[in-house]
Amino acid sequence: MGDDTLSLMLAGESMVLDAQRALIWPAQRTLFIADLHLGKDEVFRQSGIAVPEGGTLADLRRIDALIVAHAVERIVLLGDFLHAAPRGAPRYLQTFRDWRATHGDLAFVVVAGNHDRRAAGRDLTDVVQWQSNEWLCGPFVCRHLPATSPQGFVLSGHLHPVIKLHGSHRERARVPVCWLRAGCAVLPSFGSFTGGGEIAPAQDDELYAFAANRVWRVPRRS
Amino acid sequence: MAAAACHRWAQLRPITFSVTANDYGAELLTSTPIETDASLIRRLMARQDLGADLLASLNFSEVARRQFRDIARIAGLVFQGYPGARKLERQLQASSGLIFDVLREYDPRNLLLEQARREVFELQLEETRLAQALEELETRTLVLSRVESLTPLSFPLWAERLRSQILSTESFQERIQRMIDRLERRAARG
Repeated sequence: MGDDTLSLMLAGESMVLDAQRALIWPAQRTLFIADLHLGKDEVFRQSGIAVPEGGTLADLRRIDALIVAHAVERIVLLGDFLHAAPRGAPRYLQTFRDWRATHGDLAFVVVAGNHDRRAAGRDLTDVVQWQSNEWLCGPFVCRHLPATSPQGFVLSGHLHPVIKLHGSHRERARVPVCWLRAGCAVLPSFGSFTGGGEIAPAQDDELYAFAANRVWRVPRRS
Repeated sequence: MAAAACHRWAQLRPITFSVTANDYGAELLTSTPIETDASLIRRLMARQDLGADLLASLNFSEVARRQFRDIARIAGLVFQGYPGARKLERQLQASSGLIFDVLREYDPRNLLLEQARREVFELQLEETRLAQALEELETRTLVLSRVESLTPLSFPLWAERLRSQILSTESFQERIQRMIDRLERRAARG
């Protein structure tokens, strides 16, 4: 494996982080991603804000690449699958259906996030498997909101975690990270039209940064 | 002028500068060890190819991104609601920086991006005046001195560092590597 992936152990399972802001569980051929915010560009356009097209399809292509690279058979989306409850018949739903049709064997599990409140269990029910709140998957508890659980190691999203790296003087870069806390991992947001919120990690937390097509282990003071 | 000088310097080798400028002078700050001499300074301040170097320096700077903030607001891309009015739906909020990146990725010929570039060029860099200033500089004597502490004219620059801009010809990967190394060293120190 090159620089674009990084192996680590979570809950006794060997896992892989991919530079495309995704977590893979090779033993179960499962791909975990968080905060796809599908159709966000279109929601903006419907409201008269002129952002360009392309993001939705580009994100699905990135998932395609991950499926091929890691022989993925199941995708678990940790919330905020759609950016907003679809009004009418927006094109991104069709784009997603078309994409889904090309992956017949793939399981697609969505744990509903706050952006999915209204769409969960109502839209796209024929092509995705909606789960509300929590879903158990081996030693993992898949959720949208970060938390700890007696039932297992939590995989979550929601925060779009970002840290600021400092160079010399005023130079800095904001980079998305995977934030590992005790009993809980917070995945970075996968969608390309998503911002991020800076986090305040505790001393023992581990951070993995995603930048310049690589995964970087962020050294922490111990 | 600082931007153009930086650009020329950065052409010699990949390097990252933090640039501050005011009415009295300019400061180029870098973590890479550098050597300066009179001929280098003369070369950085040459009139030749000024326009081209200015334009090129824009391409790799964050200036346009900053200018875009105003433009995005006026164009209604970033709308924060009327004073006193109900807050806009949260799902419609995005920062101008995020929109700038999305436009650059998926709509690089967008007119608003073009406007951001043009405004920077016209408002922040006055090419003719700059050329005149450089022409005059060529006739002046160059004094190169190393100072022990901040001089009266350099103090305001130091104070203004908060407003500095980053100019870089290093790749993003090299820059991240440098920042990670820095953390590594710090972690090692404990």
